[in-house]
Amino acid sequence: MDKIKKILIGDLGIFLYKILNDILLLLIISYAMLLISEGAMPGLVSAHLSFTRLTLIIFVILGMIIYLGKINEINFKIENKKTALFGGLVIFYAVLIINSLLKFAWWEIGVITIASVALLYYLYKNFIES
Amino acid sequence: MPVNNELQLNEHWQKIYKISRIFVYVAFILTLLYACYLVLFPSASFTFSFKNPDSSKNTIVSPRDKNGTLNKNGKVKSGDTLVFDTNPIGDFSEAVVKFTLEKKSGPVQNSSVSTKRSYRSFFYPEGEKLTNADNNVEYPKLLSSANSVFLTSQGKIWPIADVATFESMGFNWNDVQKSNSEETGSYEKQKLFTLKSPQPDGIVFLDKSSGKYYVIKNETKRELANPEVVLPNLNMHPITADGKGLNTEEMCQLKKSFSIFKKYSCIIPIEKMQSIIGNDYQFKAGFGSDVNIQNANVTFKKTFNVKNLKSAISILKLRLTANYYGQ
Repeated sequence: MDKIKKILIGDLGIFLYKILNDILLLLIISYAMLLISEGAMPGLVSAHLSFTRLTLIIFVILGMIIYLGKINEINFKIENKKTALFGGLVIFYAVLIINSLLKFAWWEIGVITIASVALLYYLYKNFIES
Repeated sequence: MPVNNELQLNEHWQKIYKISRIFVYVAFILTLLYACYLVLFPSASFTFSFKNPDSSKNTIVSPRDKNGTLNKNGKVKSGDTLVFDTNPIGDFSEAVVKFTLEKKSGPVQNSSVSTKRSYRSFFYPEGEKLTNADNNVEYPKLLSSANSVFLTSQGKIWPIADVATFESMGFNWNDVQKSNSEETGSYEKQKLFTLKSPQPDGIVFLDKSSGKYYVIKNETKRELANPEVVLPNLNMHPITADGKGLNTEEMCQLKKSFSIFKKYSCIIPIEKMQSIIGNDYQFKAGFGSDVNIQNANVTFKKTFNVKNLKSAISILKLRLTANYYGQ
C-alpha cells in the first residue's frame, strides 16, 4: 500500500487527479441528462443501464479524487460565487422537480411546493446561516 | 473545475494529460453515440442452457420436440426437430440463432431453423368446432385491484406482470373491470402472468385474415360455430390475431461460426413479419445429424437504416406523448 502511495505522490498523482476530475464532470453531466430522459420517458434509460451502477462509479471516482488530493496536498477554496455550474444545477433541479409534479392535481402541486419551499427556508436559516 | 487549470504539471506530464484528455472526450462521445444506437436500434437476446434447464435465467420458452415433449438434455436425433418460443417486445429486422454444442457432440449437418410469428396460444393446433352444445367455457375477465391488473380463467387468477405484458398480449384497457381484494381472493392464485405465459383457456381470438373466431380450450384452438351467440357473453374483447402468421415462415441454414467452440449460427430475416400481430416467435430447428446442444441463443436485431430510424423516433414520440397526455 505504501509503495502505491509513493508512486501516486507527484506528477503521476496530479495527472490522475486532473484526468479523473474531467471524467467526473462528464459523468455528472451524463447522469443529469440520463435522469431527465428517464423522467420524460420511464424505462428509456433503465432498460439499458443501471443507475445504481452509474452512481457507484461516480462515488468510486470521487473517492479516488479525494484520496489523490489528500496525498498530494491539493487544496482549493470553494468560491462563494454563482458559477455556470451553479446555474446548470439550478436548471437541472427545476426540470426534475417540475417533471415529477406534472402528474399531480393543481392543489397538490401548490401544497407540495409551499411545503418544500418552507422546509428549504427553515433548513437554510437553521443550518447554513448559523 | 478551476482546480485543473491551477495545478501545474511538468512539460512531459502536461503533454500526456492533453492527449489523455482528448482520448477521454472522444471515448465519451463514442459512448454517447453507442447509447443512442442502443436506444434507437434495440436488440433483445434470449437464451437457454441445457446444462441448467430449470434455471430462472433461461429466457427461451419450453424447448420441446414436435409432439410437445420437453427437451431438457439438449439431445436431438437426426431428422428430429427442436421447437421453442421467444417473446420479444417490438418489431425487429433479423433474428440471429446460435447453437453451442457439447464438446463430445457430432457436428451440425444439413440443418435449418425457421420461425413464425403469432401469439403462443394461437399456435395451438386447431381442435373441433365449438358448438353451442359444448359451449360451457367460463370466459376470462380482466380485473383491477390495488394498482394491479389480474386475468381470470376457470376459477384461477394471474396477476399481470407489467404494462408491457398487458399490451403485448393484445389485451384492451377498456376491458379492465374495477374489483376488490375480496373478489380477486376468491380465485385460485397463480404465478405472475408474464410475456412467456400463454393466454389461458376461454380466451377468444379473432383471426383478422379469415374473420373466424377461435376459443382456447385444453391447448387447442377451437373455432366458434356460432360467434353471434358467444360474443355477447364475453367479458373482454376478442384478441385480434393473424392467421397469416401461421403460414408466413422465414428460415436459414445453420453454418459453423468462426469460433474455437462448436458454435453454429444463422440469420433469419424477419422484416416481413413486422406487419403480423403477436408477441411470440416460434422457432423450429430441424437437424440433419445427431447433436447434443449445450446452449441455444436467439438475438433479435434492428438493422441500421433510415426506415428503422424513423420508426424508432416515432415510437419515442408516442412514448413521450403517452407519458404526459395518456394513451
